[in-house]
Order: sequence, then structure tokens, then C-alpha cells
Amino acid sequence: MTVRVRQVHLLNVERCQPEPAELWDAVTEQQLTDWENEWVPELLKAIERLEREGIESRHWPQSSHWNWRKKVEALRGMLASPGFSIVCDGLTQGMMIVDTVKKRCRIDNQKGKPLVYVEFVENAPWNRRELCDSPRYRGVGSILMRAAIELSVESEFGGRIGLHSLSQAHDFYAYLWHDGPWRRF
Amino acid sequence: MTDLGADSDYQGLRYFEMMPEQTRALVEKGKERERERRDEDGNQQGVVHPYGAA
Amino acid sequence: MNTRKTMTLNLTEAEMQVLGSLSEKKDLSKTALLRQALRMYQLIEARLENGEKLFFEDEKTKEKAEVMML
Repeated sequence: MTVRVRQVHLLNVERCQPEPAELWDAVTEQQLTDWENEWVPELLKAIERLEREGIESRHWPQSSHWNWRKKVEALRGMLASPGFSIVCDGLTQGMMIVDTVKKRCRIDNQKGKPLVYVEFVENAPWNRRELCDSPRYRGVGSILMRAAIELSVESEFGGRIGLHSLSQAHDFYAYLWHDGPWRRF
Repeated sequence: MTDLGADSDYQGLRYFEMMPEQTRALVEKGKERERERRDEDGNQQGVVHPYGAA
Repeated sequence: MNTRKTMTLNLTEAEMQVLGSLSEKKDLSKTALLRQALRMYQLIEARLENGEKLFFEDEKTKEKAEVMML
């Protein structure tokens, strides 16, 4: 499998500086290994901490039951469901799987037109503010959304994208295209 | 993105769509910011621009 | 993924007309329409091989008809 790698930048929160990263147009074995060896243990630790602190389970990460290995293996080789990932500092920082055939636009003036539908998108646990006091990198979600848009443009779907949002991510999607200092990354 | 509300066919999750005019704006902003970050990072050699800008 | 190869396609006039009208209706180039058709065909084939069935459902009557694929 040939993977196209493009250079991007994430914000290193601690150093408050941009750091070079890579956007891959695939989710490979390397990502799945990172997910198993790095993401899952980190996520479990975070959930244990939330439980100790008495945080209600409805506030726990809603994507914690996602099994990326199963998802990726079920869709391997499918042209309709490409994946994307971001690698920085030698580790996978975010992953996304989209669908290009099963969904159509619902909004009135675009109804029925093709779009890229974001099936699954997840940030590494150490980048999530709800899971750790000082996230490592910012910008993962925005870069993955832009990758979905780019695919939509390449597919001649006009940049149209759609997704169902877990409630914890509503604000991110609602304000995705609004500008502001907090949206720099 | 445009919030089209809760989707009863999808466990009540809210459904969002982004239209061509919104996506164009977002991609342009992304290109601009990537240029800024690249400049700040000082890493300008051998860089393949992520979103196809010259 | 981005590297592309070119091929010549031989279509009848009727097939060409369908390709033209579908691409116009979907606002896609003929190439984009065929790529989309290929994605869809592969997906349907994989799911049928997986033991699933493909149905059309009448939105009003809820009547279902199974689609038999070659």
C-alpha cells in the first residue's frame, strides 16, 4: 500500500510553538499498534482517574469503546472508506475514517448531493482537554477535518462533508469554520 | 458547520454538514495558518504543502 | 493513492448517453462518476460476499425488494 504523506504542523502546547507533523492518507499497522500500546492504556488510566474523582460516566470519553483495529480491518482495501492519520513525535496523534458513497447531503440547498461523511475521528488521549490537564498538541481535529474537505474536493463533491457528532464534540464542529484566536490551531 | 439537529436514526446524535462556501473558507484559512507555522518553525526546506498550495 | 493511470473505455452510444446524463445530474465529471461507481460496486460486492443482502425499500409502503447482483 502506498501512503501519501504531507507535512503539517501541530501546536506543541507546552512549548507554545508549532511542531512539524505528518498527515498520512491511511490508517496503517503503525497507527493500530500505537492505538493498542499507547492510546488504550492512556485512555484506561484517564477513565480510572475520572472514576476516582467521582465524575459521572456520561462525562467519560464517548469514543472509549471504539476498536480501531476492528474498524480498520473490516474496511481494509475498500475504496469507499479511506482513512487518515496524523503522526508527530513518532506517535499517532489522531485517526479518521470517512465514507464516500453511503450518505447524501441533507441541507436544503444541497439536498441529495454527494458528500464525504466522517464515520470516525479521534484524537489521542493525551491531546484531549477532558482527559488531561495539559494536552500535548492542538490542531489534530482541524487538520483531519481539512483532509476530509480536501478529499471531497478531489472527488468533485465540492468540499461538502457531513458527520454525526458525539455530544462532547458539539462545540468543536459548531464553530469549526468560525475564526478567533482560540482557533489558531 | 451547520447543525441539522438530533438524528433519531442515529441514537439521537446531532448531525452536522459543511457546505462548499464554508469549506472553501476553512481550507483557505488552513493554508494561511500552515504557512505561518512553517515560517515560525523555520522549516522551509523540502516541505510538501499539505493542502496543495504553491 | 494520488498516482493515477489512464485507460481507454469503449462504450456504446447508449452507455455513453447514460454516463453523460448521470454525470450531469450528479454534477460530476465522467471520470469522477465512474470512480464513484467503482467505490460503490466494490462496497456492495464485499457486503454481499459477507452474507448480507441488498434491498430497495418503498418509502411509503415499506415494501422491500431484494436486488440481485451479478
